Amino acid sequence: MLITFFLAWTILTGADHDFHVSVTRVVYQKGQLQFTGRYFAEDLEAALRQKTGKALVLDKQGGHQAELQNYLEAHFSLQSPEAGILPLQWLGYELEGDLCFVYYEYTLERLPERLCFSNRLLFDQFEDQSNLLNFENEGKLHSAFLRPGEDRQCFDLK
Amino acid sequence: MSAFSNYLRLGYEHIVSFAALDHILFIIALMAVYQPKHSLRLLWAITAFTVGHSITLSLGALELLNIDQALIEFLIPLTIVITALHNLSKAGQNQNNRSKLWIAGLFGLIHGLGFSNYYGMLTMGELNYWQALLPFNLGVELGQLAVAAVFLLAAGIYHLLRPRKHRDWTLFISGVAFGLAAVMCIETWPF
Repeated sequence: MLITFFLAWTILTGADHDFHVSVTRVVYQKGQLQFTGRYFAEDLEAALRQKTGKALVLDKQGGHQAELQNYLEAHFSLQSPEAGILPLQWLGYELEGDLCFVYYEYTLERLPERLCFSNRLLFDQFEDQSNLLNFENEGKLHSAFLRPGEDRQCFDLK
Repeated sequence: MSAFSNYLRLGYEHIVSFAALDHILFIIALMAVYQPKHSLRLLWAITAFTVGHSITLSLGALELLNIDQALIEFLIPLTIVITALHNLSKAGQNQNNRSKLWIAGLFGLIHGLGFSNYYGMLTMGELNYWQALLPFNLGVELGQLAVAAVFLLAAGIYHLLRPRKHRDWTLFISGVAFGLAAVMCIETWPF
């Protein structure tokens, strides 16, 4: 009976079968780190709404770039032991269907022996958010599964 | 961890969560008519669901299906309502027959459509079917089997405590599934 009440409560409080995930792809080639982040646009808009208090809508003209960039950079970073946090260069974002693609790059003549990624994007918005990170270097794929409480992953690149 | 195991985990956790109640409820409604001694037949029904589910998952991956997501979100709880009604209408009769396999397979097709909007997120860009979608789908199937195992354990305990009361078990589980899914249908009404 308790289970029945619990299930009813879960449904009546509006539990949706949402999929809270983002995927970030980082590729190192020709002395450059190229980032592509994929997010559900409505998830980012919800986070921006919470942060700014305004109903911001991402659009195909690339509006609200500054707000989006500020949010991303407050929640995502790349570090090397030698150089500390690497200042990534913002390139912009695009919308495709319900997805938002975000682009960054960073010039790096050679890779350090260790790179650390921190990605807390949307963790303050959804407690079931998962952020996948795929880092490709010379055909080798490193992958990380980041969740609240496990938001940092280092890769040894020796 | 490898990319394969990360996508596997993503699929598994997507099913084994309270947010996946629609999916779990269908599996429970499907299983309500089976007694633990019919575990093999139950496995066939779950397999039929998996086959149906995988067909539409793959068609979605190949971009051969484009169905309004709001309609799918309504159809998924509707499959639970129909399955539960089928159970209730034949309570007390032998139901672990081929009709359940057809229900599982056909409704699996609809449940697979519920995942069709995930493909862009998982595969657009670098990773192909084998690196991302296959482990994600395997994780979903593992999650379903985990749910089935827990439910079967509960059914086993019930039948130990109340032997020869299988009809009551079917009526209770199907009634709960029907009531919850009916609420979900109202919430997701697309018309």
